[in-house]
Amino acid sequence: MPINVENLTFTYMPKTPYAKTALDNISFSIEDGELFGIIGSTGSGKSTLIQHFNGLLRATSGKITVNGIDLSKKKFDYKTLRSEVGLVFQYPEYQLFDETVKSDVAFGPKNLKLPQEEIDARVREAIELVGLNYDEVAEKAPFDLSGGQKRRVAIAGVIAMRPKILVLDEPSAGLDPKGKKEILDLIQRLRDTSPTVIIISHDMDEIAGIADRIAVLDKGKLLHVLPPEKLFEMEDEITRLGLDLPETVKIYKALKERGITLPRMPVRKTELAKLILDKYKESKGAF
Amino acid sequence: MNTAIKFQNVSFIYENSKTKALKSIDFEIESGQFVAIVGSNGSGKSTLAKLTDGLFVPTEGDVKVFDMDTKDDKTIFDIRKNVGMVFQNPDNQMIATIVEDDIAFGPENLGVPREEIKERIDWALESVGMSDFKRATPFKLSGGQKQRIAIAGVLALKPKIMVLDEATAMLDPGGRREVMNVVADLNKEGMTVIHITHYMEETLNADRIIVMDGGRIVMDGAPKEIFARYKELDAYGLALPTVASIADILIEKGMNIERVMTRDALVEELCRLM
Repeated sequence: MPINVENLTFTYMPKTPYAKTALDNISFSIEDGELFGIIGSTGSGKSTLIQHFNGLLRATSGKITVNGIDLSKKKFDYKTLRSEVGLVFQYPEYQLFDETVKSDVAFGPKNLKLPQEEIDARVREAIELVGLNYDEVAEKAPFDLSGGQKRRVAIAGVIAMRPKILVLDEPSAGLDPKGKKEILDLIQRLRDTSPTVIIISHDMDEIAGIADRIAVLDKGKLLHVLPPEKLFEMEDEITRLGLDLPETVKIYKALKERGITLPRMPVRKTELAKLILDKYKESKGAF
Repeated sequence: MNTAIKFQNVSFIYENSKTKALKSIDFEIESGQFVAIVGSNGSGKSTLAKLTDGLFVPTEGDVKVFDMDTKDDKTIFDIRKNVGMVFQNPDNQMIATIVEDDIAFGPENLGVPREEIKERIDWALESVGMSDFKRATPFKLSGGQKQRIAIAGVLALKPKIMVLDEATAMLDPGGRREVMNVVADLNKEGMTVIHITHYMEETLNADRIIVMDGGRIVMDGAPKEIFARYKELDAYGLALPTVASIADILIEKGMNIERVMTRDALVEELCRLM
């Protein structure tokens, strides 16, 4: 089991008048190879939570283990942890800093003190994996690239560490529809090497379409961990939490109100279309 | 109707760049219109936004706001008073250590009386659903909360034109709904709105959609007209609203329905057939 969280509590600035509990007694685990979604309104603790997965934040109390590494111990192997868990922040392109794309992507592997040939090979592989042409972009300044390309370079920097677990904080925010699709396709492609993926998203259509299970955070508390088709059955709850239903579920419900009941609640567009078509054929057949 | 914003043959080149970020842009926005601008990353949308209040001045051509030229130093202050800008990253828009001070900054600089500033702060915070955070520290809020404060800061200036440059990109669905409702209400009360976004759903209720690609305006029309030309949209790296893309799949599979854009319309179409 790659990630196990038991009674995790995190307080910002503890023992001061500004103390704020951002995560409140959270327990859950993420399975090997799972695509795990995290949703919740802004300020619910999503970003705070994922920063625990590679030890950027240390739990105030509770226990976290990541691929067998116990992060609640005073000392643990940071180097191994950081190479096992790749964390892609919100708007990661703001963190590009080096003069060329190549050297920016090489930064992480260099810190691992790998031999130069290994670094070069990883950099090339990572850049190609994110769908950029190595020979075209390697010597370019990251700032000369488009928004979507910059984000992919930033992700390449994380992939070059060959993490087994990939954690992404709103990976498609701010991208145009084509860029969004590219990032989602990229995440699927990366699952060969990084099978376990954790994604924070505000886009319900997007997360419902890809996640195996979705965790819902609210004011630092973990309220639900459910597969999307179960989670989005709770319309009132979802709305109360400042979230939204995926469009497919809204259409399903609107049809039901008008007397057209599909056999199950779809969370993917293609699934909804198939159910409607089946129903349509059935209704035509009746005449 | 008077013209709120007018671009006349506007081109713009960034310093140290050889290529034009905007190429011969011509359009007018009438006072009170709700205009959505869409286009892929790098198409020139944000550059265009920054030209509307004189943050950038055109390399060629003229930009006029209520007939005032953005190149004219004498009127630039009036232009800025009329055009409220909300940017993508709220961190760059926060200056004070307490939310209400941050919102007061603009009106104070305009010389608004103290009592009215207080009223404006309360009204602006309520409009964005952040009344409870009046005395909070902006730096400790989450990204989405900060963005709502940034919008409140602009609202407190009571501008006639509001330009939102991907201002909803970092908000959660509830926050986006609130902001879009606020913007729609302001528009109903007469505010001219220019909304730059990647969320195609947010353009459905606009009076007009402008599509940009490679620094040019490539499409300009009512949402219905724009979304009917879906193949072109696809070529510009854009997508249809979710409902329309579902309708597309159904049409492709042989169902005889209209290419609708809203959920209600799709449900009507399906009820008609089944």
